[in-house]
Amino acid sequence: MTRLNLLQGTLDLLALKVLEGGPLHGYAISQRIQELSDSRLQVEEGSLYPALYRMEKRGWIGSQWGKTALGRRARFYSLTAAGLEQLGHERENWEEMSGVINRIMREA
Amino acid sequence: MVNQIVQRWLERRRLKQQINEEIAFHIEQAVEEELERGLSPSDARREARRRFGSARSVRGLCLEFARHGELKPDRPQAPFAVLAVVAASTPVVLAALLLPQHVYQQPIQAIDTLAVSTRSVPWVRMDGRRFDELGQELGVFQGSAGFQPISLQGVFGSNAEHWLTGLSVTPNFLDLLETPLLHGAGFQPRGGDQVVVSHELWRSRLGADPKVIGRSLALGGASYKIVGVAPAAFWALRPTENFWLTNSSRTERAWYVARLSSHLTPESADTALAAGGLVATGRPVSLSQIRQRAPRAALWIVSSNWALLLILGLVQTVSLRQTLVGVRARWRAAALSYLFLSVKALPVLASLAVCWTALVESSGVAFSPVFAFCASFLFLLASIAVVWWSLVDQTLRCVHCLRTLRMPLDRGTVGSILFDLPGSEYICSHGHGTLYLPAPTSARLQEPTWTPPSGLWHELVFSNKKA
Repeated sequence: MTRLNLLQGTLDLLALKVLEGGPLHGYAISQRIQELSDSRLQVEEGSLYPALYRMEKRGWIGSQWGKTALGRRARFYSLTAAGLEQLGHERENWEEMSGVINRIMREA
Repeated sequence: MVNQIVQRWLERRRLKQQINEEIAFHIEQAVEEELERGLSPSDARREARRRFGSARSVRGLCLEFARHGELKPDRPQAPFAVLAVVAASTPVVLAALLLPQHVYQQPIQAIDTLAVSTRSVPWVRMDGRRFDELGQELGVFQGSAGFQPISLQGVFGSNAEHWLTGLSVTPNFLDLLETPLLHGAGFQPRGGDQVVVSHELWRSRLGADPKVIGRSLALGGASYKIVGVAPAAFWALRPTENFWLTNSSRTERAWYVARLSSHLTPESADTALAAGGLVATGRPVSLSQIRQRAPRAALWIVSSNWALLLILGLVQTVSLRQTLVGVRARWRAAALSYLFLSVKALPVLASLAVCWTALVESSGVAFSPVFAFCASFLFLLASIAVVWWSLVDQTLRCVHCLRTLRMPLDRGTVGSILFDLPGSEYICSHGHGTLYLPAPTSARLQEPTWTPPSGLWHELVFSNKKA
């Protein structure tokens, strides 16, 4: 199965979307993205963290240290109201862009 | 103020710990996952690290984003061409500001005039005491003057005697050469025994005192009235000349120098003289065969800059050899790197040389040999510092865009970071790649390695710009 490079500018969208389901730590977010993409998205896991820090600084997500199911200390990220609004914008942009590209691919 | 600095340091430290803990947790989780897949512990750790990517880059980016919310914008950078013009014009402006105020103004004109004369209005040098008179009768010469090399003992200060070399000349000698004097009016007709001293003699033996004009100088047991000080770069026959004197008792002249009429070449002058039956022992010789002394400072500037450029080039070549491995368009990158290095270093070196020249060579002040040595040594140290700075700065620049690399991260054990020189990793903020400078060891200097950009960088840089 061919692995796909993550499209530029979509990491924020994917992370916000995954966090819409509830608070998760960084590793869980990357695993969730892999699961949902059937492990087809090729992205360095480390690249997620700078994106999370950037989104937190912008107020789209919040974070809190907590314990995992196995009792390990981890930092859990959750979506804020501003993040939810941003997710809406990102989703609209994506749908608009992908719709336009699909149309061109079909009709050109 | 101190409180703010401490707070900032504590905050940065807390952030670092937090990021380290988060990364460690992520990698542990990934290792466990790989172990469950059946990999050995070492393979599992290796695979987990590969999946994560460069932890150092991630740490640096997280710090940057946590503190600023985005990558700090680069400082505005002037276009390279503007920088190059400004840098190249700096030493020229410095030279214009500093040097003309000193004795360079005149010797350069004198030397230049002499050089022009050898091309458009050739000079000739001939044997024969009456050659000039005969030549003038035939209309071959515009004018001529005689000279005779001599060595005399000069007495300075507390009866200290020094052997000096110079020329016994006819009073019109310096006028014929169109030599503007630094001080004094030069030889006067019927002025008795007179001497014009060289700039070097004036500086080293006469205290560089402008008031020496009119004083007496003891040469070869006779007393000569000082009537002029020659400019620093002037000499007639040999660069070692200390004086030019006129002496009523020394009337013999071994050599004559003459300016040819403007319509004649040395060859046609020779023919004209031969037609007059005046070819005696000499033939017209262009004075271009008499070497002109280039100003020492100019030679120093050129030679020192070329030597330092050579050193720069060699070190840069060694540095680039490893750094450019795997870089696309490496020849273009290497050429750009050399060009940038030259534009950066050479004008500074040239400016230093101009300042040094203005201070030591042409200020007209008599410096002791110790001072001159110290000044030269300081100039050398400053030049080496410029070379060192240029190379360090060049090393820490992106090989693609030549922007300064950012976010240095120390690499190594706690001990090596605290007590030794750790290795460091730098990142191009435009996503062209990362540079790793290994820690120098006592055994050898390890070469830096350039790593092309990863998917992580494409993603983060693009997203950052979009935001």
